[in-house]
Amino acid sequence: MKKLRSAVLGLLALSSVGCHAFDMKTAPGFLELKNGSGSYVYRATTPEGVVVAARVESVEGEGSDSLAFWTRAFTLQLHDRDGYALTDTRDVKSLDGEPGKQLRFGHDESGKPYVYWVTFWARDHRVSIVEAGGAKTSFEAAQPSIEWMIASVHP
Amino acid sequence: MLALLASTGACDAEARPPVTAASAPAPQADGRFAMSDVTTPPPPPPVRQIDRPNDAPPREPEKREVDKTLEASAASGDGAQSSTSAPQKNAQMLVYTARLTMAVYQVAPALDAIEDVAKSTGGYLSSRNDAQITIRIPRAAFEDALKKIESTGDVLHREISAEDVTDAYVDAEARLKNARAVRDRLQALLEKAAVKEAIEIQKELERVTQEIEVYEGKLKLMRDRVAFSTIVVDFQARGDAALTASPRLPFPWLGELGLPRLLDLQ
Repeated sequence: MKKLRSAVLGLLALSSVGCHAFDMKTAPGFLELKNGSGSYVYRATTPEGVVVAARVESVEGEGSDSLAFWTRAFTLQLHDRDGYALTDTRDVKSLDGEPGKQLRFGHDESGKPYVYWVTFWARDHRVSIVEAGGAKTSFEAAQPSIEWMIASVHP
Repeated sequence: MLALLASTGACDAEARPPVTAASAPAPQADGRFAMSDVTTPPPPPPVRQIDRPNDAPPREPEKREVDKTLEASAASGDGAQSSTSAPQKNAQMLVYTARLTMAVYQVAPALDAIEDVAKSTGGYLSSRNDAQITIRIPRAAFEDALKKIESTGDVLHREISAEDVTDAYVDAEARLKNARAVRDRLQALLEKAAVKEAIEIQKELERVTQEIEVYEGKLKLMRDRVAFSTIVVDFQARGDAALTASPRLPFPWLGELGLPRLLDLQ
């Protein structure tokens, strides 16, 4: 079963970037969604609706592996354009030691506070992005599992 | 009897500090001051408004001798609670009030942050609702607290006022002193009075006692207002219209980031 999941993930990732397979583990309490994921190569949810999803985007050109570039691009998109409040920025590492960045945002949805994290790695002309979000109370309850899942990423 | 009492009050009026012509009690036809003159409250003092443009740094309030006295009092922890301290002669008592309007992305955390500022500077929460919070800050920490608050969001409007309550304080203090003197005389008279006169004196004594309590309350309130500055912050949730426009990068997937798409599991 595990091999099958890896194969599916690998095929999806390869179809998007045509090289390495993206991999990520699912923490207990999350259900991995296998269909209808759209542009996501991975997606999982808790019963409370806290969602962790990943996408891998191919970006050609010199400088495409610059974490500073993508940090600024994501910040402009989410903070300046979409109105998310940037609450924290952290350095992260993938399972194989690849350095990445994590932007932590807050946003009110229908008057309720939500948390939204974007964690990303840039190498080999591709950007691997893990999004995590949900209602603040549910998200905070699931936070250790989310951090564990992010630490398990092989971008 | 009341005329006699009135004359005792008139003697004390001479001991009062100078008052303006407008607030000075007018003498009666016989040249004496009535007891009721003592109860006339003084007119409210003028309020000095200090409006500054949005990008101007907070103006340092004028340092005066009284501020140092009060700062020391506040620092020692007996600021508002002390009922013994009176303002020094020629010292000014200033009540500082700041009103801020700020734009933030999330109102609730911003309200929490302001509450934390109050606690960390030795102040306290006065009131709070969904979009407004009022805190009281020790006078000595007023500027520091303002700086911390202004860092929690975009300041849309800032207004700081300094109300001079020196005249009101000195006047209330003098009236309290007079009222206490009248009470003492009434008590002395009461001991020697006949039954019929004693009833009248007792009534007057009750009235003067109430008057003393009112002035003591006023003085305590003014000391509290000087020792603790008030900061009122109104928050406005930042809308899409206020967001900065930026050029779009040639990566359509950037626009797919965010909660709506992530949380749509259908």
